[in-house]
Amino acid sequence: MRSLSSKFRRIAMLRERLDGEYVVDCHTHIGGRSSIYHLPDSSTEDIVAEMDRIGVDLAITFSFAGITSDYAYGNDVAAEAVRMFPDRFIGFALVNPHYHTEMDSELERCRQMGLRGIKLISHYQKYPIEGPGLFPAFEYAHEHSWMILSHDWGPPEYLDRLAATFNNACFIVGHYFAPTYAEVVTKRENVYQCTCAALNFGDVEAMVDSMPADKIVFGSDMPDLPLMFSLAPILFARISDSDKRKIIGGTARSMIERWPGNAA
Amino acid sequence: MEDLGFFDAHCYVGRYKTFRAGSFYTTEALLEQMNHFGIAEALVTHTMSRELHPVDGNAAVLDETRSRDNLHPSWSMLPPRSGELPSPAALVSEMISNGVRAARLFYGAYGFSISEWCIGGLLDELEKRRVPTFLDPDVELDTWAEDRLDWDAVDALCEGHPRLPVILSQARFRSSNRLLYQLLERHSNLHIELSGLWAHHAVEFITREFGANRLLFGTRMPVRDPACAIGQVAYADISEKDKRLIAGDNLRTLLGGVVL
Repeated sequence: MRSLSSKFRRIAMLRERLDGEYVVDCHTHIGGRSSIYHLPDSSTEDIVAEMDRIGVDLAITFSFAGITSDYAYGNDVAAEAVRMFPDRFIGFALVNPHYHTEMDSELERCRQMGLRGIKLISHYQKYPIEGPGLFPAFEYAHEHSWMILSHDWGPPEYLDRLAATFNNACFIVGHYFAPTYAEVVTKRENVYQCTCAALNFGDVEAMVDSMPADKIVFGSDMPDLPLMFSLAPILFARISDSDKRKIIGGTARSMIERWPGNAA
Repeated sequence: MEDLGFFDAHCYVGRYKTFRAGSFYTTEALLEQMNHFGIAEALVTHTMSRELHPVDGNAAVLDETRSRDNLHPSWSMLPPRSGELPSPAALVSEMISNGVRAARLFYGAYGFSISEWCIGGLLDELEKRRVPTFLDPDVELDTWAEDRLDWDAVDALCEGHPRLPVILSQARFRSSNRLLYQLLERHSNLHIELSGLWAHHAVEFITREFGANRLLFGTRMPVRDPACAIGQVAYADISEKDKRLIAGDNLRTLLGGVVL
């Protein structure tokens, strides 16, 4: 149902905080420094303050460091954020497939530190998403009922095969550029779509037209992208308030309950 | 909560090459979207000014904005020597007499340089009349291209034309924010249109370091979702006064400063 009298649109027009709504940001970074760009106001405390200012209850977070540099250092940073704010962050381990022989032990170290999911970004690490160096991560997630969010998953058929093979893991498509994965998201119980980078005109509506809102989770990419840069398109979208409520938090709540991970 | 008076510095009407399903291209549809998103006014370019030729697009945008009080035309320009457009002095006089108060240099799409040897004469005329001039380096309207601005050329342009209001407008500022800050410090006539500045707290950082007057709200409709830039400004952690400047008053001031 298309809605022009949306409560969420009204909130955005009035520039109000999202009080009374459960909001989960499934795609954030932690660490506050990157070779790629300057990241102002991006300490762990700053990120929590931004979540408070907008009305975000919970965030899945992973390091900047692991994208371009030392992944283990980055996982320490993510674990520290979880230790500082255990009720606000779910920490994911970020691994590098070039170090695949260390991956299992690193994931176990991360689990001992309280992390309970995996972030993959092999595209930035110059490694093919279909390469064998990522399989230790899939196996670990399958064994421990973890979520895995990847920047991309290659061909949809590949993600479909992974979801079927490692069916105790949860696969999150980290970015939306087009409804490329709509069929597999709809078909597989353990595959979800993140809204991150749905920034073109009509993207949110196209996403909801192509897959169920029960499988779409909000992600901002903060502090790469601004939180409201990513959230406002959902609030303004010409979709029902019921679907908006699912996307900004309801779907993520169900997903996290189903794949809680086993932190040590 | 007081309305911020959003004035979109960067949007288009007209059919564009890579039309996205669910998007739009007519002026009526633009007005409908502005209403939905709470945008009061827009500085409009015709897509033909970017994707075909200024002669066609500049005429078309006058037709599309005529009798629409909240739509304001902008014109695209080229280096003069090909003779495709009137001389710089005649062109700038013609634009102003037609009520056009902003120029766009799509130097990526038209393959020219923004260096003095190429467009210095045109910049001289725009500077005399204080015409807000948008520098756009991207080849395509619908693109994920990043950081295409020629920073040394921008530096020289701002240095050589200190009374020209210069506005950077590219699809995405990503790895270039460290360069951007250096130039903002060097040139008080340098501004940024926000549709490509997708960076956490960039609005807050630039406002406190260089002043809110350096930022202009823009959406890149109908390609981008205008809610992105609206969210970035409306929820920025800055004063209401600074939000109003960025949302629209800075652009109103620049357009009002054109020497008629």
